[in-house]
Amino acid sequence: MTTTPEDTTPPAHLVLTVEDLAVHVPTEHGLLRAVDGVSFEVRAGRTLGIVGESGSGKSLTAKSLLRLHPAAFRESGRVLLHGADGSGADGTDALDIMELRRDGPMIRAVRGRRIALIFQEPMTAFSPLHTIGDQIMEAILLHRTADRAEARDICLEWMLRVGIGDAQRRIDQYPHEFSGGMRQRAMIAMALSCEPEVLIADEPTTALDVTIQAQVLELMQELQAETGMAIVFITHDLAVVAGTCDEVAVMYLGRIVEQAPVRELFANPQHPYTRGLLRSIPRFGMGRDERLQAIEGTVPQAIDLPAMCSFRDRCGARIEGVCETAEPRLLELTDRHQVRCFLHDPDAPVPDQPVGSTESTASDPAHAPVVPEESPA
Amino acid sequence: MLTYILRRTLMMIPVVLVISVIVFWIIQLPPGDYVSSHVMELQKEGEQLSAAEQDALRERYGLDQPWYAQYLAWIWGILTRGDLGYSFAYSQPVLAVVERYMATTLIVAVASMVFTYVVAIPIGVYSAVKQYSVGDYVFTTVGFLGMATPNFLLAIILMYLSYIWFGNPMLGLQSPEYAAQGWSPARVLDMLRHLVIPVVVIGTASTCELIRVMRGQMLDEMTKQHVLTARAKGVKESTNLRKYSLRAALNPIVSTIGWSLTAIFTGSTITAIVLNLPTQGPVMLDALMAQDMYLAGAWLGFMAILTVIGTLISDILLAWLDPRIRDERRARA
Amino acid sequence: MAIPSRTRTPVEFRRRTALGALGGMGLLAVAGCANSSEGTAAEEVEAINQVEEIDSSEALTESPMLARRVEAGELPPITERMPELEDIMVEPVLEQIGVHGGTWNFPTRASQEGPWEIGKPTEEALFRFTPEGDGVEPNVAKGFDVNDDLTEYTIHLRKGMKWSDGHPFTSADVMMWWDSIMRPEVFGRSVYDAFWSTDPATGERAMAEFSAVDDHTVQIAFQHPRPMFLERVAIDAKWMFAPAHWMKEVLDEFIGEEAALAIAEERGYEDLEGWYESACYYYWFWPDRPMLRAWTPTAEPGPEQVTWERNPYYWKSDPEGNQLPYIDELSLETYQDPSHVELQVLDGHFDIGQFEFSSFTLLQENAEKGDYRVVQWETADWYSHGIQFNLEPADQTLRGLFHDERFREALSVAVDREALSEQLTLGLGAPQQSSIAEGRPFHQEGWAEKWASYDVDRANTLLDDLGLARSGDWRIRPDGEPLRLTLTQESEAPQAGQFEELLKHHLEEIGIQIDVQLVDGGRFGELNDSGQLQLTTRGAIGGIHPIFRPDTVVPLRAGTPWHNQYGTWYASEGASGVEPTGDVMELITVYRDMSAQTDPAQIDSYAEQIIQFHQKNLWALGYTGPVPRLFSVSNNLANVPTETTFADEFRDLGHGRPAQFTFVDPEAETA
Repeated sequence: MTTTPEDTTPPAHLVLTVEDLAVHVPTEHGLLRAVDGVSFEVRAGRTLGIVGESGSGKSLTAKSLLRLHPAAFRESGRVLLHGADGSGADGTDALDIMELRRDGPMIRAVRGRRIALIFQEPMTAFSPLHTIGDQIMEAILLHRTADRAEARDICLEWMLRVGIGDAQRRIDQYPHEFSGGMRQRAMIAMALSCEPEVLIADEPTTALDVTIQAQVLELMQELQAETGMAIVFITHDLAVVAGTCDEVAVMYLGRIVEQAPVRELFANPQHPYTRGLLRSIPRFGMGRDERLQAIEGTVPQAIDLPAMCSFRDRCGARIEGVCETAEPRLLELTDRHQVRCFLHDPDAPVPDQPVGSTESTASDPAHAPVVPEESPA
Repeated sequence: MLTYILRRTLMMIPVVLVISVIVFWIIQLPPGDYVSSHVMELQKEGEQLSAAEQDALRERYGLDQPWYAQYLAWIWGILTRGDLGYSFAYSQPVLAVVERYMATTLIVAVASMVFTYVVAIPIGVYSAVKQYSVGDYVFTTVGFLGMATPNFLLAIILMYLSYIWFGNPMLGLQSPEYAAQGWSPARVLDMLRHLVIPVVVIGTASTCELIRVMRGQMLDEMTKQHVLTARAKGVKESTNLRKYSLRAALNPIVSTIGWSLTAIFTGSTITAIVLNLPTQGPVMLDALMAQDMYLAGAWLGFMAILTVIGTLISDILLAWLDPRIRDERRARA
Repeated sequence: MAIPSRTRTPVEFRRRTALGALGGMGLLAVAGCANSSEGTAAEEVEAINQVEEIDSSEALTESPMLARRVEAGELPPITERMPELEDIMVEPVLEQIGVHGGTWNFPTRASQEGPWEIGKPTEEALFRFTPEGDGVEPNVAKGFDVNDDLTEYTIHLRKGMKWSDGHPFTSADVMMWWDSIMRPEVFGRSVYDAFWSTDPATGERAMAEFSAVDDHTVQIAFQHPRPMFLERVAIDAKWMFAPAHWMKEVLDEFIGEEAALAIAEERGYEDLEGWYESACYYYWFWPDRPMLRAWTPTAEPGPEQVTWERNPYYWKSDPEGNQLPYIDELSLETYQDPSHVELQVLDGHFDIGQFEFSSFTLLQENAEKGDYRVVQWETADWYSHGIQFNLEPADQTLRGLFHDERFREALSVAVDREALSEQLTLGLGAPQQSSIAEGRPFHQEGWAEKWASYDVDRANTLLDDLGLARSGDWRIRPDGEPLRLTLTQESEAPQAGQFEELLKHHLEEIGIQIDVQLVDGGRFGELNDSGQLQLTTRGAIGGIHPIFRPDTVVPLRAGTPWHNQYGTWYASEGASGVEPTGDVMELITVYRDMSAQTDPAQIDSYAEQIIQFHQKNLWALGYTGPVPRLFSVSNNLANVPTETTFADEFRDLGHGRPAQFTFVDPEAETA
């Protein structure tokens, strides 16, 4: 295993700790385990990227953080929001969002104020019947001041800050009068105007074209540097992740299958899924006849999954007799890099051996399956 | 916006004129004319009109002219003198007849509309918010029953129930003892009591329809992204419902107010006959049957104008309420 | 029945009044017979009605409603309001002396559709029909004289009689009506038949001449003898007077056309004709128009209700001197559909309701609940369900058939009258031929049974004899076409379609195809006028006496389906229509002769000839006998006749003398 130089900056204080978050949805076909035991940490000033294909449960995770799901969705786990100075890192003095009454006054005090959420489609995220200004000010009036004039000033200030020129005129315009990029900026203004500690961005640039995308991403990073807020960046676009995130968690079928600092992940992907994702990105220098290597198969539905590795059927590195027998657990390869795979599990069940055998093949290089490695270019 | 309204208003005029021609032509299509039905009526009373007397009557009413001559004379009268023509059956100017029944017609129509909107909107919202709850199912069932039952049948049922329970079938709009008096709180109360059945009957079908539409609209709106955004901002559920979902859901409904006025004017005729209401509907039905041309023509023309104005109002309201449409029209205008 | 002798001298007017009293007693006798347990009551009333004249002004009593106004100085005392004592008309009471007070809740259709609903019951004719209907008696007039050859009639009015606004009623009012209203034909009707006398030799008509002898005497002179003059007035003209003082302010003859038009417009009319029709003919809706009626309107008709109030100057009293009417007020309430009336009668709201026979069961079942009694008045129709043949249809083959009495007999005997009687009239309309009932004038023996048996074989034989051979189900006409007849009825007629379907069933059994056609009134009129009808079930023929209203039995004008074309011919004096022949022409001839007669006995004998032609020919077939006209009468309302004749000639409900209807307990009359 190659290693990358350790990140030597001291970790920033914890803002959000998610422990074993699960969202189970009862459907007519069975229980859909959309999010099945997700844990991560979010730190001030840092960007955590959550990557996965559609169906991986990343959006649901994001919404769970603010309890935005309907009552029919069964949520469990803990989402701890820490005090502003990081106190309560050990669990005390932290607010467990999961304990709050859904839509009650306490959670409403968190929404928009301490945790803000921005969405993928800025057009539909705004009400077409109300002005942009009205909608941005709504958050401000809820959380910062009751004075309309003051709220308006704050709104204008933020609009300018996110790069919406001519804010005086624009503030009274309707969403349909804004371009896509402008709207996303407005959305960011709306989210940040209350100066939250955490910004959760759910695919904020997917609907934008590339140049605008770059602008918006730049803007987000600037604001992060200015305000010190944490960002949780949810996307399926690995290129964006590479450019913006400090840490990445890869989700597959409701679980985190690998989590590592960004460089480490790109340099040293350990999970077959991660590797497959990285391989499937088109790159400069590929020959014209080279085919993209897609991961075979499609994402199954997370209903009535058998007790085995959820990626097994699509995994090129599956171990017969091992991967289908049990679910792999999350292992710490280093203190920053975790992976959920039998390939790295010293206690993985042994194929064709009676259960309980102490002999393992994992530590024996001669028996370890060859894992094709490719170092990033 | 103003140019838009102006343009639409000007376009109204040729539309109404064309409708009035068609209406006039259709009214005089059935064989015979007012005099022939009048003569049959008189016969029943024991009176006879000789052929000469009938001809004289025809000449007096201008019924011996071809229909387009009658029409032109009539239109000319309207445009130059505001004279809507003469009702043969009432032996009075059409305007006098219309005026006599206008007040009661408006009262019933407006009351029905108010009832419809005031009842339907809250129930529709409730049904959407508590989708699939017991309440939702109850309202749905009652709603479908209401829509399926013909107005006149509902009127008869309610009259019957009123008779059985209260000993008074509540016909008409006013108890006879109040009719001659001046206005007093007791009289108003009496009228309100009499209004219950007509308003319920006339309003029911449209109320039920509106509930369904409202429910559908609300369900639609409630799942929209911006509702989620608002919730994520920390907006209260009730505010969210009202400011975003309800407001948006009301748009298409408000914009149909224009039409429903016409529907209420016309749709209540049979109900009015069953309930003995002194409104325009039965008067106009009789006018059509007796071929009382100018009265019927005036009324149908009025209906046409109402519809056209109603549509215009709907469009104006829509533009006023929805900024996207407003701009689209502004761009086009 | 004989028409009472007409030679009168002024002294004889007392006998006239007596006859009126006798008439009242006759009515009583009939009513009394109906309920023998009230025999003594009948005797009592008889005694009451012996009084023909009010002797002393002390006896005059007015309603408390008016007494209050007199006290307040708004009205002159009763002695000044009523005519001179000997000229007050004493109206006999049917059952009891009444009590002043109460409101009569009266259903009407909207005023322009049914002006006669209130018009007839409240009408005050110059002379009105006696309760038996055998002649006329004085009403507004006090009496009359006529010379021997029936060319000069002298009418006496009542001294001191006043209009409803207090203005005196005099001969000027009669003259005003004749000179300024009737003769110039101001209200859209031609001068009535009554005012014409016919030259027996040439058939030429000459109009009467009116003159006022003094304030209370009018003379009408004819060139030729004019029998039945007053009877005809009672039918055609009804009233023969108009308030001169009011008319002078309204007729263009007096105030000029411009001013008259201005008034017309103010009143809501476009032209003078419309306004005059309303002011002079359908005048009883105007509150300011002086009238002689027992009640007058307090306001113009509203969309739902209008109140009529007693006339303080009403010129009749009961035998004890109580000024009539007994009832203080009428509350006229508009209804749109007859079912509303039914509902509110069942509810006990309307004091008198009029009904078609089809409501019989409903009314009887609910009489106790609604606290009313069902009263049946006979009509003068010859049948309740029957068909008329259009004797001049467009199709000539059919014409031949319709004129052949074998064809008509076949259609008569092919129908099961018993079944129809049960199904359509609950057995109340006797299964008999179209005819005059026993006990009524001109009844003919054997008429009711003629062609009245149910004999399908005979029907078939008759049709076979006519050369209508059968091919399969249907008979074939001589021209090779299947025999197919159209049976037309108005869609608005009560039970429309029921009778027609039954007929169709029977007639198709004997091989005649029937198309039942239900059309609206206007269309029916058109079909009738243009001779396109073939068979129709609309209306019934009959009438009280051919001399009174001959329209349905003698072709004098268009309208009645069986003789429409002939009537048109007569009315247009040959210009249009079809000239009748045979017995139909005889009808006209006999009628003309009858009209020229001066002797009542002669008139009757000619009338009987007319009737006998009908018996012989049966141009209209009847299947069920006449059914009564139904009334529901509140149990709180007395003096309403239970058995009398309902006819337009007698002014429908008016024949019961509404002025003497009384509430037994006026206080209870609130609902």
